Amino acid sequence: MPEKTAIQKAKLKPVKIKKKIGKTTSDKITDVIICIVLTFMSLIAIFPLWYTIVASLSNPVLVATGKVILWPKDVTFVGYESLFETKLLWRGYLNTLEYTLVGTFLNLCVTVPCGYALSRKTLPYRNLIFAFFMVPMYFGGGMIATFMVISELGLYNTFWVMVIPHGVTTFNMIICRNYFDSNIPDSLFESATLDGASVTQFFIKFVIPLSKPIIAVLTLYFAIPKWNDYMSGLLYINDSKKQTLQYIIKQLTSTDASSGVVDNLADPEELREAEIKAGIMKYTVIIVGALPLYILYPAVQKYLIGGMMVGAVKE
Amino acid sequence: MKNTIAVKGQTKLMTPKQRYWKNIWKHREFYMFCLPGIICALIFQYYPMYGVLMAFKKVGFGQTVHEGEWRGLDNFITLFNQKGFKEYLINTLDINFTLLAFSFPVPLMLAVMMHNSPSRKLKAISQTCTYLPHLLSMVVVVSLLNTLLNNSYGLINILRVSLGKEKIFFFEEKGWYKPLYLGSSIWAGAGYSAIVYLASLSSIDGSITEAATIDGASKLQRMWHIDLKLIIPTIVTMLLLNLGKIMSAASVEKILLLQNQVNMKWTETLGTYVYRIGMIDTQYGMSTAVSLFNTACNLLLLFVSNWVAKKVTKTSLF
Repeated sequence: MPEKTAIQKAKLKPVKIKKKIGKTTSDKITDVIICIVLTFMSLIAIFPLWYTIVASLSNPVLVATGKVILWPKDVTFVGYESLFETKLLWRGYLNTLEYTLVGTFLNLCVTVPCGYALSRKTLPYRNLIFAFFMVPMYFGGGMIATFMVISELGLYNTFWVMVIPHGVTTFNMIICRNYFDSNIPDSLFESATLDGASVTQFFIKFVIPLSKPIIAVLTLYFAIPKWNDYMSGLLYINDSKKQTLQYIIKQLTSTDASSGVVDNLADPEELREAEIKAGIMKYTVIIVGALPLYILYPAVQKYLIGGMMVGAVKE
Repeated sequence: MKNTIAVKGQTKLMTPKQRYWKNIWKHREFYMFCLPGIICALIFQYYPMYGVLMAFKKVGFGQTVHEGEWRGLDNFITLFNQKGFKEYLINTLDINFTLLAFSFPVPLMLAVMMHNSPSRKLKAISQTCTYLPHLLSMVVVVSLLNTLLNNSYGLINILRVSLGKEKIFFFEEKGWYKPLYLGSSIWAGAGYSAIVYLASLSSIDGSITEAATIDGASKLQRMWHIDLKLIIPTIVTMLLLNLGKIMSAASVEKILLLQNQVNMKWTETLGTYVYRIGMIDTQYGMSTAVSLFNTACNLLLLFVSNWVAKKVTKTSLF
């Protein structure tokens, strides 16, 4: 009993006690070090992104001579203008947008009902089905075997190869199951089914409206990797009209591509100019390629982190 | 509970077998819900597993798995005797273990610091800032590296030249490969990985920390003895997940993007070798043999580390 009251006292008046004890010098030093490290880490994380924006907006000659570092100088949109003429990039943009939208939708259609079913504790063989989805996380046929299955099914170089879910993303399903596990009470299901609703009716009428937060999280978790996907384009698409944005960005920014142009120019001054132009073009390509996710980010930030928490806490 | 009682009452005459089937029939709609996922997994994840047989066959371009001619363990023998194999294996182990050693502690440290940050604002800002690079694609991260470190227009080399120093050819020098790879991985991933630890730090009971403060524990001691100790299960789980893919943690995508003719010798790993001999040279059998070897190593390490973790910390994946 006396212990309890001591804890309760501490809980009731934490401010007073802290003030009484005060911060020791070593604690103050620790605080200062934490502040410095966190600020430093944040700056390191942000600087390359900031510099890219600055360099894409500044006069290329000033960028190339190192006079532009923290703030754009002699603002110009030359880089962006030349990018608008690059039809290939916009083709890739449109393709990736289609792949991402349709692919994410299909992924959700597969994952959400399955995650809900697996959250039902009474389901016979629930753990077996779960194990069935876990195994591919650790063992798979490898790149070539998957490639051969895809060409066998006639999916190579088609729209569908980028869209049909390549198996189930186990991690996302775990998140989904955990959410339903703790957010859809069993009693709701029982009272609804006693009133004569079928499972499917219950799922559509009750579960889906209640699962907006998890659908938001899953949408992001499916959409971001799809938007950023490079390997699928490299492996399964060989038609430049169907190619993904990331593959095209890679082509536009790779050093090999620009050195090919540079080799053809003998005049050193012209060569330098071409290099500088290639440089600014790269900054703008990077910005344009990453922009959609950064526009989306503020709107979805809380969901992103919330999703990680759901997945992590219950695992 | 209600349901089972009702079923029992109605069907006293049912044999256990009938009851079993009735129970399954009752859940038919749930199985329907699982069906699309199961079909996808069967086609795109389980069916390719059958293709692992290619590792024991000679399969070339245009052939299917059955058309290949059996070769027993020949593919593996050729592979182990190949000149480059030892080099690639060493490269693979080297880059992956260094990656684990450096990129594993950083998010942990970051999370503990954010958790103990004296100002809430600083915590929120640093969390957002360190998270932002995670949204970039691998292609964009590598393009950024290429652009910032380029030897004619990259910022670093421009600054070096203006300071009167020599240019560094970052992508052609062996010594720079690992720092580049590790640095960019940590830059892009640390903020994201820190979230898991932050989540489990936030579930620590505040009264423990308070009690320790009253007993005179300094902040540093609290960070070490309370925060880190109490999230050991999370740390172990994350470590096991990382060890389970140790042979393939360094992403094939990123290495392929970083490779050029000059650095091939020290950047090629088994993962990129699978791509090169499989997709480019179309030696399907050999390529599958390499990826099977890779997977086997991963599984072995996963089981061993899981067993060790179970013995030592009583936390394990399965």
